[in-house]
Amino acid sequence: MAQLTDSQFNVQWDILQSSDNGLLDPLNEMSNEPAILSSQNCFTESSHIDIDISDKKSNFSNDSNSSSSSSVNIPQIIVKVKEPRKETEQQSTFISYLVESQNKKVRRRFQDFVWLHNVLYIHFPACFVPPLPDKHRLEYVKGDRFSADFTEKRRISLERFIQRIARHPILGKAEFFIMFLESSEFNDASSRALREGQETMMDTIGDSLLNAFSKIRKPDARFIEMKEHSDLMEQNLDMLQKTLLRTNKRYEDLCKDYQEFTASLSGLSDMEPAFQSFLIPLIAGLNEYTKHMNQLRLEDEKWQIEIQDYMAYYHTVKDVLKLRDQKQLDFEELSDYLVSITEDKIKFGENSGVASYITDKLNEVRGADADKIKRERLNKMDERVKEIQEAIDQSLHISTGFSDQIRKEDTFFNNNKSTEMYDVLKTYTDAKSVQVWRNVVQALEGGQDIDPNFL
Amino acid sequence: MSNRNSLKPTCDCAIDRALHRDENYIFITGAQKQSDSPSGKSYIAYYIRIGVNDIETKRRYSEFESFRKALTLLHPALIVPPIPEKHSLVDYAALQTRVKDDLPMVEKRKRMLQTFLNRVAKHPELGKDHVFHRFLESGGSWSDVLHSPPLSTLPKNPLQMVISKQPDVQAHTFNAVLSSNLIPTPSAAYQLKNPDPRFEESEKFTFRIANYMSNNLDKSQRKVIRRLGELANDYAELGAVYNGFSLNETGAVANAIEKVGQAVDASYTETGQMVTSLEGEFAEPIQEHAQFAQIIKQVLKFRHMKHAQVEMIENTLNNKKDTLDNLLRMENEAKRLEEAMTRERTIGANAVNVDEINQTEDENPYRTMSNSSSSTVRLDRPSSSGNWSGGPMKVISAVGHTLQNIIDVNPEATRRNQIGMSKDAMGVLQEALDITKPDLAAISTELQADLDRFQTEKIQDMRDMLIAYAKIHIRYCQKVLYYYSKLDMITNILLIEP
Repeated sequence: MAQLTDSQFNVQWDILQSSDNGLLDPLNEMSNEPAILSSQNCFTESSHIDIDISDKKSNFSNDSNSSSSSSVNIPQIIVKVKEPRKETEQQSTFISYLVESQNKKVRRRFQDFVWLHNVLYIHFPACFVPPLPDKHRLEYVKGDRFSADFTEKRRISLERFIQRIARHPILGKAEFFIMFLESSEFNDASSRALREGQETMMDTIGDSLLNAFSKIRKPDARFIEMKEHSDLMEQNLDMLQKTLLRTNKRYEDLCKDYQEFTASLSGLSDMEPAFQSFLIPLIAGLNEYTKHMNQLRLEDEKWQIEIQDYMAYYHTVKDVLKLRDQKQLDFEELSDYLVSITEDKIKFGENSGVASYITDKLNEVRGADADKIKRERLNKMDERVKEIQEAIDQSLHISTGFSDQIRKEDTFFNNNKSTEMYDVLKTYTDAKSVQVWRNVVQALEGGQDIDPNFL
Repeated sequence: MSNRNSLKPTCDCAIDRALHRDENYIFITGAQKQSDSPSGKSYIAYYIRIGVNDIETKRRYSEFESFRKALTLLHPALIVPPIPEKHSLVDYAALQTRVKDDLPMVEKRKRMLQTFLNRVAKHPELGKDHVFHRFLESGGSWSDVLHSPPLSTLPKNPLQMVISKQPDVQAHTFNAVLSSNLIPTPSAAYQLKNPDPRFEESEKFTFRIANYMSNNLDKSQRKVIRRLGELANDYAELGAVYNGFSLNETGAVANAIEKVGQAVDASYTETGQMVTSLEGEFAEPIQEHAQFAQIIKQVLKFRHMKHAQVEMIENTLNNKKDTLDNLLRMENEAKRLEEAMTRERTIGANAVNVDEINQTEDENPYRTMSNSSSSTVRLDRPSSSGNWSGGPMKVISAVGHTLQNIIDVNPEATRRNQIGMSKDAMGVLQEALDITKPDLAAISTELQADLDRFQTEKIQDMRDMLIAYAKIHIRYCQKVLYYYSKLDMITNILLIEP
C-alpha cells in the first residue's frame, strides 16, 4: 500500500510539475496539440469547437520578421450595417439599422447591439469583446440623437463592432451572434438567452476565489509585456486623439476664414467692376475648395472615431488581462491547496502516530475497510485537484493563446484598413482640390499662354 | 546737371541711362546691420543694385522715408508709390523687439522697398526725376541731396509751388508770388463753387475703396494666412505623434503608421511654404494697394485744394477789382467836385461847405464798400453805418466822421494810397491767377492721366495676385497629394501579399 501511495504520490508531483511548465509556456504546449474547449467547461454550453491555431503560432513568435509574410486567415464573413431609419414602436421612437449578412437582412436597434455585447462579454470572459460606441449622452440631452451626423457616426462604429465580432474565431461562431444576425423573433429569444446567461455566470463566480489584492507569485513576462504594451498603446492613442482634435478644430476654423475671405472678394468685385472678369472665377474656385476642405474634415472626424473605438478596445484588453491575472491567482492558490492536501494524504497514508492507529481501529470496528476508504478518499482528492488544475490550465491556455493572437491579427488588419481608408479618402478629396484650382487658373489666365507647369 | 524745372526731357545721367535706356530692374540684394560709429546705434542698411551693373549703393529705412516724402513734396499731384509702414508703437509694445532684430520683418521690408523703387522707376514722371537718380547713386550722401536744390528750395506748403511747365516760372520750387500774404490759403472745409464732376466721383469712390481695402479685405486675407501658420504647427505635432506611435509598434503596422507620420510631416512643410509664398505674393501686394488707396485720397485732396485756391484767388481778385472801381469812381467824383469847387470859389458866390459835401460823398463809398463780402479789403474808416438809419446812428456817424476828420488829415492821399495798394494787390493776384489757373488745368490733366495709368496697373497687379493665389494653392494640393498617394501604394501592397 505504501508503494501504491508512493507511486500515486509521485504521479501527483509529476502532474504538478508539468502543469507548472504549462503555465510558463502555454504556447509551446499548444503547438503540439490543439486546445479543445470541452463541453464540461463552464464557458459555453452550446459550442464545442476544435480550433487549430498551430499555424498562427508563427505570427507572434517572429513578429519582426513577419512583416511581409504574415498570413491573415480571416474567416470571410461579410457583415454590413447600413440604412439607419427612424421607427416608432408603441411609445418610443428610435433609430433602427439594417444588419446585412451573407444569408439574411434584419433590422436592429442600438439596444440590441448593447444586448449582444453584454451577452458575449458574460459568456466569453477570456475573449476581447470589441467595444460598443459611446452612448453619446450629450447628444441625447441636446436632442440631437436623430441628426444625420450622429446616426452616421454611430452606424460606422456599429459596423466596425459587428465586423470585429464576425472576424473573431470564437465570437464569430457564437450562437448569440448568429441569433443576432438571423433571428426574426429576436426580442423573445434575446431575453431568454440573457436569463440563461446570467444563471451560468453565477456558477462560475462561485467557483473562483476572488482576491483582488494579492499579487500572483509567478508573473509571466509575456503578460506583463502585453499589459505594458496596452498601456503604451492607450497613451499613444490618447495623445493622438488630443492632437487630432486640436488639428481638426483648427481646420474647421480655417474653412470659416476662407469663407469670410471669399465674401470680402465678392464685396470687392461689386465695388470695382473692372476686376469682375477675374475675381468671379477665383471666388467660384474658392467656394469649391472650401467644400472639399469640409469633406476632408469629415473624413478626419471619422478617423477620430476610429481612434476612440481603439482606445475602448484597449480598455477591454486590460480588463481581460486583469481577469487572467485573477485566474492565475486562483491557480496558484489551488496549487498551494493541492500541496497541502498531498501532504495530508502522505500523513494519512503513513499510518504512523497514535491518532491514525485509533482511527484505523475504529474503522475496523465499524466494519469498514480502512484501506478502501483511504484509497477512495485519496482518489477523490486527486480527482478534485486534477479537475481544478485542468480547468485552470485550459482557461489560461485559451485566454492567452487566442486573445494574444487575435489581438495581433486584429490590430494589424484594422490599423491597415483604417490607414488605408483614411488615406484613400484623403487622396480622393485632395485630387478634387487640385482639379478645382487648375480650373481657376485656366479661367484667370484666359486667352494667354497657360503655364505648362500646371497642366 | 540740375534740371529742376523740366520733367519731360531727362537729365541723361548714368543712372537714368541704366534705368531707362537699358531697362534694368532694381534689386535690393541684401540687408545688413551696421552702425556709423562704434558706439552709435545700429541700423539696417539695404543694398541697392541696378541690374547687373556695378552701380550699387546702400540706404537705410529712414532715408527711404525721407526720399519718399521729398517726392510727395516735389510732385504733390502724382501718385507716389508707398513704402512699408513704420513699426508703430503698438507693434513695439506687442512684439518688444526692434525691427532690426526681427528677421521676417527685415525680409518683408527688403521685398517691399524693392517693389517701391521699381514702381518709381517705371513711373513716366517720377522715374525721370533726378532726385530719384541721386538717391540711387553710389557714394551719394542723402543729406547732401536734401540740402541742395531742388529739395532745399521747396516751400513747406505745396500750394505755394508751381508744378506745370510755364514760361518764365520755375516749377517745383518756392514761388514768390504764390507765397505772398495776399494769396489766400484754402481751408480743408472749403466747398468748391464749381467742382469738377470727374474728380468728385473719383473722390467718393476712392474714399469708399480705401476703407474697404484696409478694413475688410486686408483683414480677412490676413486671418487665412495666420490660421494656415497655426495649422502647419499642428501638423508638425501630429507628425511627431505618429512617428512616436510607430516606434511602439512592429511589422507592417509600424511601417504604415510611420508613413502616415511622414505624409503629415510633409503637410507641415508644404503648409509652411504656402504661408511664406502667400505672404510675399499676395498679402504684401494687398497691403500695398490698401496704401495706394490712401495715397490717391491725398493726391485728390491736393488737386481739390488747388482748385479751391484758384477759386479763392479769383474771388479775391474780383473783390479787389470792385474795390478799385469804387475807389476810382470816388477819385473821379472828387476830382470833378474839386474842379467844380475851384470854379465856384473863383466865382465866390455860394459858399458851400466843402467838408460837408466831402463827408456826404464819402459816406457813399463806405456804403458800397461795406456791402462787399470780401474780408481782405480793409479801410482806415471803420464806420459801416451805411445800411442803418435812425437817430442813434446819425449821432454815431457824426462822431465817427469827426474822429476821422481828426485822424485823417488828408482823405485824398489816403484814397490815393488805397488805390495804389489795390492796384498792386490786383497785379499780384492777377499774376497768381495767371500761374495757377493753367497749373490747375495741367495738374488735373496729369492727375487724370496718372489715375488712368494706375488703374491699368492696378488691374494687372490684381490679376497677377489672384493668379498667384490660385497657383500657390495648386502647388500645395499637388504636393500633399503626392505624399498621400505614396502612402496609398504601400498600404495596397501590404494587403495584397498573401
